Formats: sequence, structure tokens, C-alpha cells
Amino acid sequence: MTVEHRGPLAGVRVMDMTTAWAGPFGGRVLAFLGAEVIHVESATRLDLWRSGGHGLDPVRFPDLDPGRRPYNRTVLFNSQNLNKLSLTVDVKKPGGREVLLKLAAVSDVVLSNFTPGTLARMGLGYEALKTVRSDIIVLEMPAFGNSGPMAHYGALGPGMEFSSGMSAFVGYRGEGPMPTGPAYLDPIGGYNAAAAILTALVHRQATGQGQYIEMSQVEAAMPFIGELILDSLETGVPPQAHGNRVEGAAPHDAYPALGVDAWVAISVTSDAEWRTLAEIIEAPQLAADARYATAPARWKNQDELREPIARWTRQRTKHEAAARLQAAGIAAAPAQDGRDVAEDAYLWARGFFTELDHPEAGRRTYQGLPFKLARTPAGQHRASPCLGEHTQMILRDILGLSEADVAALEQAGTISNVPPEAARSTEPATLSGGART
Amino acid sequence: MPAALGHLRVVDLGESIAAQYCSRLFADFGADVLLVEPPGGSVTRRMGPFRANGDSHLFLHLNLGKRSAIADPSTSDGWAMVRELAKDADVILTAPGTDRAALAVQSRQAVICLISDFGEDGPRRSWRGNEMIYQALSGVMYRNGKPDREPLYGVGHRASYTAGIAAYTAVLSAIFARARIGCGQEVSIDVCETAASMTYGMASQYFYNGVVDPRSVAPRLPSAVVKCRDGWLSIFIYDYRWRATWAALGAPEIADDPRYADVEGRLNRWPEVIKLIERQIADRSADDVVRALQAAGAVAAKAATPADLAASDHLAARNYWEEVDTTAGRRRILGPPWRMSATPRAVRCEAPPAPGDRCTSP
Repeated sequence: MTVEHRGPLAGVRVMDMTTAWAGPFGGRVLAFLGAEVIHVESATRLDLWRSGGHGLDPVRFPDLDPGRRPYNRTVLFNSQNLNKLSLTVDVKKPGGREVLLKLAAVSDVVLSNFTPGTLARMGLGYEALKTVRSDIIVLEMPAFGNSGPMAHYGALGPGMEFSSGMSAFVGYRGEGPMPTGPAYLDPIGGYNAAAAILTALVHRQATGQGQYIEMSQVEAAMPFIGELILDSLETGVPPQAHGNRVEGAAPHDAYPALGVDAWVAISVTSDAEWRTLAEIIEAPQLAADARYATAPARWKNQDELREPIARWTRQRTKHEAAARLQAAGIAAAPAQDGRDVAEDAYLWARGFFTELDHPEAGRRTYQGLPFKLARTPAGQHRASPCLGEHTQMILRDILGLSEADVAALEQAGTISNVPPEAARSTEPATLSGGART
Repeated sequence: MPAALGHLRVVDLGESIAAQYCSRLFADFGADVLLVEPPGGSVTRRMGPFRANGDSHLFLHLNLGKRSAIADPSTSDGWAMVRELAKDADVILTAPGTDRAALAVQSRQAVICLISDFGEDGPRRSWRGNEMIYQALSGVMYRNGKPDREPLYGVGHRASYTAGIAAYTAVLSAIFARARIGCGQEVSIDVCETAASMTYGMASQYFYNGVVDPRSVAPRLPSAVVKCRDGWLSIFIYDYRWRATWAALGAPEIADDPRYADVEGRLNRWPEVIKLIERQIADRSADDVVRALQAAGAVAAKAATPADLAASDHLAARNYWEEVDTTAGRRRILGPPWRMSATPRAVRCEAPPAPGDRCTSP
């Protein structure tokens, strides 16, 4: 079998006009699949995930040191922009918009996660882009879409999860709703954006026709709980925070393991599994107890099972407990923290991690994406770009600008890659995606 | 309207939530999708929640717009039928254990996708998965919940849905590459690996500096979940919206309180700040508070229930909700995940009511 190492999207060029997480994640998927993705940035208004977060929190930097140019060293930006090129252009300065129109003319896709209307205000809306490239594919991904009374609402990852209906189902029993982690809607939005663009690319390949795609990140997430939304609407039963409980499986929860803040998730989905679990946790009398013999009975009395199971899990590490239960056919897993994930033998075996050199962050290992293709392998081969790292190359080699043209842009400050001091951390960067501009 | 993927034929042998969401997206955008079910019906027909008539909401949601055929690939007749179906397929979705090489022989153009929990090889090939297990292994669960309580896995089957989208993306990229390399190929997606890709770089951060982020809703960020009269809100208060936020909350004097004047002091006293906010909104409705905060430029969102979504004037103004014809009348379905100007999503028909049913609408 011939293997072609440029990736399935080799030859596709993407203008990635995104910030923070969801948008950059979408561009990163396309870059992982071999597209040439140009992250269009401005030194005067940094990508929110370059600006390092609330007061340059050291935990986001190599060896806890933000360094002289933290915007080139932060793991937040550097984990979401692999394989991309960086072009710095200030669209408000002389020649800025013209550069971007020139780039659009030789691009296949424009991806943006600014608020509705931002591209149009920059003179780079779909209608304008279509005049320089008739078959261009443009995707914008505002939180609530381009229309409707909430279109201009500001949104971040946790709020979008609230708006999608998901959070009403998440939380401890008897308490209020919670978002999932820092911003679960962002990677969901990023994956959806890449999928939508691929849909349009395959259509264009068959017909030669480009188009505009509007993706509300909230609407893109709703199908992920579609069956729960439709069920609640049909029964009239409102959603409830349920802890780790799941209808039809009991016990189904996280139990304390040996160590600090260590937990093992255990899921029992049949009566036979329950009897096996009872044997393993050295409580055979529970296996024989009618109060727990059937799924409905265990569901009703599951609180009573917490302590007998925890008594067993507390004496083992989360990894040992999970491995023992999985070996017996019971679904179980350690609740892995960042270190556990980094050391996960399964993920290493999948080729999930890649070690890459970065001129300002050093040689580091990065987590990846799950796409495996046999003949046109995807992957990450270049670390995330420094701010404006490829500006000169793009202007000269891709856009064919003359020395004089480039010098004029430099003179006007249009393509600077040096943020003014004030722009470096003017607002708290968030783990999120629906950026305000 | 033309369809984006009207030129593609998809055969779904995947028998999983991820595979069926993948083929659902193909059906949404115009591909001809055949769901191959074992004689007793697909496994997702037996997964809840269930409607009053016993039908699975999950199955119906995942399989709109598809045709169904019955085949048991473990029998020689069933396998012969599957091989016949593979002949002119563009896309074949499979589960572990399917002889993909035998299917590839049938169609040089086919993209054959393996969708599995943990892969066919590697250290977890024999593990059993479900949503809580994927979330536990991914790192997301550890970060979700209160620091002094057990971590929470979330809700539903979100890792599987994401793996479905990832599989759809991988398959389409391979369809795109056919024009260049002249043939289809094998692609694969693991649900567990997909789930691990959805953190903000927890593992990459560990490689950067060895720091493991603890569990909390939003460490050191000006965000909160607060209760009002009729619901809960997620709010986020940028420093430059601090004054406008307190004006909108009806307590402008708090913006002048020196204890909360700068971001550092504010975050150090964040539980107090949350109490102050809740005092101001205890008698106000969620919709009212969200409107006021958004008007002040602050980020706020209500914890919407399905009923809120059904009644939302925003979604109504966007014509979000749709319906599909069924033998028992029309049934509500969710709107499109994204909107394409030239090739909009169009649901062709209700999910196959019984194994082997064909799509009855055009």
C-alpha cells in the first residue's frame, strides 16, 4: 500500500481568523488533517489564549516561567495551534485589509469565531470574500448564531453549556447545575466547525460551488443531548442534577481510592456484574441480598452500597482497582488527572502524543487528536507558531508581494509582531471560545 | 435545494452511538445511508430514554433519515449480504471484529472506518467502556465538580457523539483525498482517545511544567454559578465590566468597595462576591437578570431546561425546531447543527420504525 504523508487535506489553504479555544480547535483539526492553516492574528489585539490569562498564571508556562514573550510560551495557545502558520496583520492599519483579501483570493476556507458581524465590519464578510474568490467556503461560529434576540449576547464556554441545556443535567444531587470542567462546549464547537467545513469541501469538490456556513455553537451542541431534550419535552419531567447516577445502571459512581483526591469510576450494568463485584469487594453477603439482586432494587437502594464499595476501593490505587474490575468484565476506570493522562500507556500506544521543538518553549510533548488514516496519515509535525512567525514568508512566497510592498506594510505598523505593552494582558483570558471583539 | 453529500452511499455496520451519529450527519447532508441492524434490531433500540410506546429516543434521534436492512454478519448469508452492500459503497462504518480487508476488496473507492471504544489493539483492547469510563480516563471528569466531593462525569453520551463527529470528519477527509490518491482507505477513531482530546491541554501542561490542575469549577477566574428566583445562571465578570455589572445588579455602591476594587482582591474574596450577587438577584427572574447583565456587557447565561429551549423566543426567531412525519403524526426533532447557505441540512424521513424498514418519504 502506498502511503502519502501530506495528510488527506494536502493542498487546502485555510484562513484561520480565530481566538481563544473553539475557533482555534476547529482550525487545528484541519491542520492536523494536512491543510495549510494560517492563523491570522494581530499584535495589537492578541489571541485571548496568547495573552496568558489572568495575570500570567505561571502554571501555563514552560517550567513555570512566562519569559520575555509569554504570548509565545503559553501552553494554552501552544496546545491548540499545532501545525499552523502565523500571519500578523492589523486590519485597521494601512494595507491590512488588502493583505487579507489577497490571502482570501488564494485560500479555500475562511474560519472565524468572532461575534456576529465582525468579519463584515472588517470588510471581510462572505460577500466581500466571494468577490475575490468565488468558490470560497466561509464559516462563522457565533455562540447563538447570526440572528435572533440573543445573537449579540456575549458568551463563554460555561455559559454556552448552560444555554445548550446540558448543564441543567449536570451537578450533585439536590444542588444546582454546573458547567463541565472549564469549557466543554469549546472542543465540541471546534469539532463541529471542522466537520461543517469538510462537508462544504466535499460538496465543492463535486460541484465547484463554495458557500457560507453559520454555526451557532449552542445549536451545534444541543444534538449531543438530543435524546434527553426530546424525552424531557415529551414527558414534561424537568432535568435534574443526578451526580454520577445513570438510569438503568447501579451502582454507577466514583469511589475514593488510595491517595490524595484519587477516585475510581465503577459502572455496573447487569445483575451478573453486580454479583461479580460483590465477590471482588469481599462482600459476598451483598450478592445474596434481595435488596440489591435486581437492577431496579439496586437503583432504589444504591446509597447503601456506597460504603461497602468504598471500603474496598480505599485500600487500592485508582489504577489497581480499575484494572482488577476490568479484568473481571466490569466497566471501571481511574479518574485521571493531567499527569495520569500524560502517562497513559493506552494513549501512548495510540500515538496520541508528539514531541515537537518550539523556538521559545523548547522541546515539549503535546497531546493530539484521534484521527487515523491508513494511506494519508494525519498528525502534528510542527509546534504552534510564534506570533507573526510566518508573516514574511506568507507575504512574499504565498502572496507574491514585492520588497517595497512589504517594507511599506512594515513602515505603517500593519504587520508588526510586537504587541504594545498594554495589549499583553488587558483582559482576563478565559478557557472559552465565544470571544467578544 | 441540492444536498452537500448527495453523491455518497454510506453503509453503517457500526452498532454504536458514535457510528450512528456519524451516519446521521451523512444522512442530514444528503448521503444515502443504510443502517444494517442485526436480526433483533440495533443495540441502540434497547438504550433509553424510552417513549411511552417503548421506542428509544436515543435510537430515533440517531437514525433519522436512514434506511434499514437486517443482516447478521456472523452468518454466511448475512456476511454475503454485507459484502454485496459494500460493492458500490463510498463509506462503510464498522465495529471491531469486522473483516475490513474483505470489504475493501469489494470496493476500491470505499472509505472503511473502524469506530471503537479503545481500539482493536493496545493495552485497553479488552476494556469495557461507557460515558463515565471515557470521561474518567480523559481527564475531564477529574476537573469536573467540587474540590471536596467526588468528581462528576457529566451527562449523556457526549464522548460518543464527539467520536461520531470525529469519525465523520475523518471519513470526509478521506473522501476528499480520493481525488488525489485515486482510492479509498481505512480510517479509525477511538471514543476513549477522542474524549482525551477534549481537554484544554491538561497533559501538555504537565509536560510543560509538571503542574496538575485541581478540580474546581473555574479556578482563579471571575466566573460563578448563581441562583435567582426561578433558576440558575452562569456569569463571568470581566474587570472592565465590573462597574456596569453592579449597576445592572442594582447595587452600584459595591463597585466602589475597596475590598473588591482590583481583580486580585475580588478573586480572593470570590465566595463573598457570589453571596452579594445572589442577594441582589434573589427576587428576580433568570431571564430578567440575563437581559440586564448582557445589556451591561457582562457575560451571563441561564441554565436552560429543555422546556426553556422549546419556549425560547430566540430559537423560535431562528426557526430552530423542526418536525418529521411519522405513522403516528408529526414528531418534534432538533434543528441542524450548522446552517449551510447552498446545501442546507434536510431530514429525509423518520428513523426506521422497525429493523428492515425503508425510508417512506422522498
